[in-house]
Order: sequence, then structure tokens, then C-alpha cells
Amino acid sequence: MNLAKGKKLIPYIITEIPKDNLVNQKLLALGIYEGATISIKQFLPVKGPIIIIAGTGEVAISYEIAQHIHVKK
Amino acid sequence: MEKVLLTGNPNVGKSTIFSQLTGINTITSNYPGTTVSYTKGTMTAIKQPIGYKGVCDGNCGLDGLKHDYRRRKRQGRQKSCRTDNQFITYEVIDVPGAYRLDPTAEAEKIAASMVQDGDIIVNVIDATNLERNLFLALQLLEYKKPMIIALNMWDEAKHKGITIDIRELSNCLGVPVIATNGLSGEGTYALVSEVSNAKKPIDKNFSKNTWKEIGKIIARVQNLEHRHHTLSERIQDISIHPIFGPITAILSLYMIFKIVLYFGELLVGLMEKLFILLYSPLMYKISEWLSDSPFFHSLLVGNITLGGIEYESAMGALTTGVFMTIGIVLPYIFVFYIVLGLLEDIGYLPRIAIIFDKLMHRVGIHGYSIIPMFLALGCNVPGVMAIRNLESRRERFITAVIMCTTIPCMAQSAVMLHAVGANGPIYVFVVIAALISVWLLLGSILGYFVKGEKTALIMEIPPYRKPTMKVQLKRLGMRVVSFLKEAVPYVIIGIVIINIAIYTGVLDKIADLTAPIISKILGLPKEAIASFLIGIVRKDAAVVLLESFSLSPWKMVTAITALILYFPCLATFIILLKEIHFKDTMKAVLIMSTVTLITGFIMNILPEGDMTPYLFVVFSILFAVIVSGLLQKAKERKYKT
Repeated sequence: MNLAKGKKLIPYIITEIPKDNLVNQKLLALGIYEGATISIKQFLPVKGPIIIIAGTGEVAISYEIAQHIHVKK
Repeated sequence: MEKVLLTGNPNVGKSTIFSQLTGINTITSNYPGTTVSYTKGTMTAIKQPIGYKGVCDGNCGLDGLKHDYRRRKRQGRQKSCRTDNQFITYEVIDVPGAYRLDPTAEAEKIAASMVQDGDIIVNVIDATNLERNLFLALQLLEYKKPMIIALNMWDEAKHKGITIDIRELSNCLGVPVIATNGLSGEGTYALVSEVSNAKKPIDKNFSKNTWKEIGKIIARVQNLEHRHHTLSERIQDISIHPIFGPITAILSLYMIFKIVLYFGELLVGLMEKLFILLYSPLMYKISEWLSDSPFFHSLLVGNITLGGIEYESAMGALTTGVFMTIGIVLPYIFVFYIVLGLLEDIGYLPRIAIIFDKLMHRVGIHGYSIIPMFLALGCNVPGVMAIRNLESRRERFITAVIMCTTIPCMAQSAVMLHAVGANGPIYVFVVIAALISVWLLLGSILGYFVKGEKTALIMEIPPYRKPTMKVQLKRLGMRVVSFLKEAVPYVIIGIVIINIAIYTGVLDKIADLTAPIISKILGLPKEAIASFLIGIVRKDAAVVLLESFSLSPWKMVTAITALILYFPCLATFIILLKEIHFKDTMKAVLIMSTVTLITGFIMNILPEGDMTPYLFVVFSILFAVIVSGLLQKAKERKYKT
């Protein structure tokens, strides 16, 4: 399932992140890597950014990127 | 002199620690990417064993330790400085924040290249976000340079229920770890002491899977306690709520506008009284001294009468020049920077970026671009410098162009409000509507046509933090001084040059040459070219000059809109050249000129009537929304195919 279809406040394990080098490196540096546990905090309307909790911090990810992040429960 | 590099993720408090170590004031705030360029300073430390607990008496020349000294003095634990100390001076460099050393943004590239040259690395880590910060720490360890970890925001971590075993963390990484608090100065002395005894890290042979290693370290050193949501966290949640978030953002922007307007006007009234009371007698004296030389009189004092000085129209360098910057612009700048400072420290700006991300997508960029634009409302120079945090050339170019074209700095806004607002608030809305429409249309067109990599928003959200009075006052002082240093001389020089041009008849010749553009396209008197010329130096001065032409309200609005759009001020132009380079700057100037001529021409051909401003506000925005919507759809089709 992709992250954009996830539900709020449920812990997910990331199974795949976008391969694009720029996005991949940025996500990795912010603690969003394959195997990491994250949860969705908020969805913004009209396919706006998705706010996720990774570790002890919060990260905003655009909807388009979230569609390419695959997660499992 | 050995180089000490202060490195770390964005928004971890590097600049605050830098100020503690060197005594140099730097601008700090609560959002990633405040430091886009490096700042240098020096620090003197005592070369002695780490265990030494002596504290300097504050007079031995050790920068950055005075606070620690005062703190200990309050606690009654002060000790005198040892006389046999061996001092060693270091060059300390505040490096722009970076998440990694294989960078994408310009500011991160600067950080990565600087690490190669440093002798000692101080990696500042946000204790509330240890896991994420360790990613860079492990990359830095690979350089095998003497390194110290400053575990900053230590107190905040405790409040959040995060406990970190410092000794264990030091063992895991093979480098010393010092708990610090950049704001209070706690831990600064220990950090200086460690720097003077820094050694190469103990080789730990970390595996290639960095996050696996980080996971192991976190499991050993960090303990999280469950606790309930605090009030600040509840407010944080509201500001990114799908319904209340946008409402809060729009209300906040409206409130900022109202606060700046209300208190700015209040201060302008006060300044006017102060000028009449304290400055006018001096001007009359100077006028008396210069009465024998009419050239210098008109240059410096301008037209003044014994009945009172009309500061706005006197057009003397010392009357209009000084009054306009200090009496009119400074009050608005002062209030705006107080409000901006609070927003920066609280951490609201990144949330505005998230809320407006979707809107920014319409113009082909993402939400973070709103932060440079917000800064540009104060002054375009820091706004242009902040585009360095954007990742692609395309994003930097679009942001720079729409920012420099449509966002007036506070100095410009202040005189614009003063000049246009005098004819009624609707004329202020006409200028705002024109700028919003151009912003949306120009952004959409550039977003459609400019080629290059499209990036999406991936941004860390800082927690809300309580602003501290000390930081607020320091930053406000720095910004006001910087404005005065830049504005007063430029405005005075600008007015002197224009007065000389008028006196020698040069201005008449330029006016004749440019008359077809100024009169036929924009519909302004050909003498208005003087305003456009002075506007290259300072736009606020240009607006003041416009007031002397007695234009009709609609012509005034047309002239001011054209003045805002046509060219950035000289300082912004120079920074623009540095940030987006010559070729793109020239393209930007060409776009700005074209936009000015089109907008000015449309406004010129509209009939001047009572309903014209109202119709213009409604239809210009409506037109911009429809066209940008169509372009958005076309863009989506283009990407699909």
C-alpha cells in the first residue's frame, strides 16, 4: 500500500521509498528509510502534504512523493 | 590558526552556539535554513587537561565564557583564572545546516565542501531528534578528523521525556559528547575545553547500513517516556489541521498586515512630531547657513518655508531623505521585524509553507519557497539569499523572478501605503490585487515554460518554541541597524543625484528620450522617469518623488505598481547576480520589464472612474485565477503525455 492511502496514527513499516536519487537521499537523511517505523499524523486537503511522525520528529511530505512510498502495517 | 567547524542538521542551534563561543551576533530562528552562508569568528581557549574545573573571571579574553562565568557567580562558585594558562586561539566557522554530506541544495554544498578544510569538527545535534541527527554525525566520523558532539537543546529533550545516556553515546561514537543549551550558554565552557583537547575519533568500524547502526545506537542510549500532549503541541496540531490550519494561516497573515499597519501608522505620527520638535530647528539653521548658495541649499535642504517643513515634498537630501527613511519607513520596518522575529522563533513559518504547498504547486514550485518570499516582505536581499535552500535551478529561478517582481519590501510597502492610501483604502487594494494577479499569472507561466527538475516538498517540521526576549531584541537591533546603514546613505545619495540631474538639465534630456515609454505606454508625465531612475537605487525614495508630480489617484496607482514591478533595487540586483548568476539575472530583468510594460499599459488604457478600482480588484484576480487554472490543467496534461 502506498503512504497516501494510509490511515492516521497507525504505525507502518516502510517497504519501499522512491528510487530517484534526489528524493531518496533527502528522505533517507530525514529518517525515512526502508524498514523504518512511521505513522501518519495529518493529511492536508486537496492532495496537500502529508505529515508523518518519524522517530521523535515530524516531516511533511508532498502527496506526490507519498504515493511512491510503500508501507505495510 | 586551527579551524573549528560548527556543523549539524538545519535548525539545531549552531548559530546560537556560535554566538556563545565567539561573542559574534548572528541571526537565528526556528526553521531550517536560516544560515545560508558561513560566518567566521574567533574563540580563545585554555590548553589544559579536560578535567580542569577552573573558571575564568570574565576578564582573561576568553570569548564566549562570560555567560558561564556569570552563571557560576550567581551560584557562588566563581573561581579566579589561573595565571599559568596557555591560551590558544581558534577560528570558528558557523557552517550552513546540512542533513547529509552528499548534498543537493546550494547551502548543503557549502557545508560539505567546508568539512574538507576544517581541523576540528563540532557536530551540533538536536537532543530532541537524536536518531535523525546521527545520520550526519556518522558521515562526519568518516572524515577521521578530531570531532566533538554538542548535544544541544538538552533541556527541551528532558521536557519531552527523552533521556539520553551521554557516556554511552560517547562510547558508541568514539568521540566526546557535551550536553549544551545554546540559549542559556550551559555547557559552553565544557565544549571550549574539549575543543582545545580534541583528538581524532576512536575507530568504530560502522557497517555500511547507516540506519541499522543508528538503530543500534539509539537502542543503547535513548529512552523515551510516554507523556500527554502539552498545550504547545495542541496548538501545533491546530496549525496543521486540514480545516483550522488554512484558516489560522490566512487569519495570521491578515493580522500581521493589520498589526504592521496600525502600529506603523502610530509610530509614523510619533516620528513626525519628533521631527518637528527636534529636527526642524536644525534644518532651519542649516537653511540659514546655506542661504548664500542656492545650489547646495536645494541639494541638501530643498524647499522649506518658515511656516513649517513639508518633509515629504521638500526634496532635500537632509529633509526628505532623512525623514523618509527614519520617519516613514523605519516605523513600519520596526513593527514588521518584531512580528517576523516572533514567527521565526515560534516556528510558524514552516507550517505556513506546508499549508500553502498546494497553492505554490500552481506556480511550479513547492511550499518552502514561501519562506524566502515571507522574508522578502521585510527586505528582498535576505529573501533572495534564502532561495539558496531550494534544490533545483528551476525552482530558484522561478522563486527569484516572482519574488523580485511582485513582492515589495517593507520600505516600499510603507511609502506605498502612505502615498496611495491617502486617496482611499481601495487604491491600496488595487496595488495589492495587481501584484497578486501578476504573481499568480507570472508564476503559472514560468511554471509551465521553464524547463528543469521538478522537486516536491520534503520538509522537517520544527516544534513550537517559546521566543526569548534576548534573542528577539538582539536580532531586531541587528536588522534595524542593517536597514539604517543601507537605506539612509543610498536614499541621500539618490536624492542628491536626482537634484543634480534636475539642476543641470540632464534629467530633461533623459525624460525626452524615454517619453514614448513613460507617457504613451504607462500614461505618466515624462518627468516621472526621475522616479524610475532613483528607484534603481531605492524604491522607497522613488515613490516619494512620485508624490511631487501631483498625479491623479489612478495614475498614482499605475505608477506605483509599475515602480514595484520594473526592476529590483540595486542591493537585490547584486545579490540576484550572485545567487542565480548573470544569464538568469538578465532573463529575470527582461521578464520584469515586459511584465511592467504589459501591466502598466493595461492600467493606463482603463478609463478613470469611480468604479474602476473596484472592478479592477475583482476582475484582475478572477482573470489570474482562471488563466492559472487553465495553465495548471495544461501542465498536468503535458506531464501525463
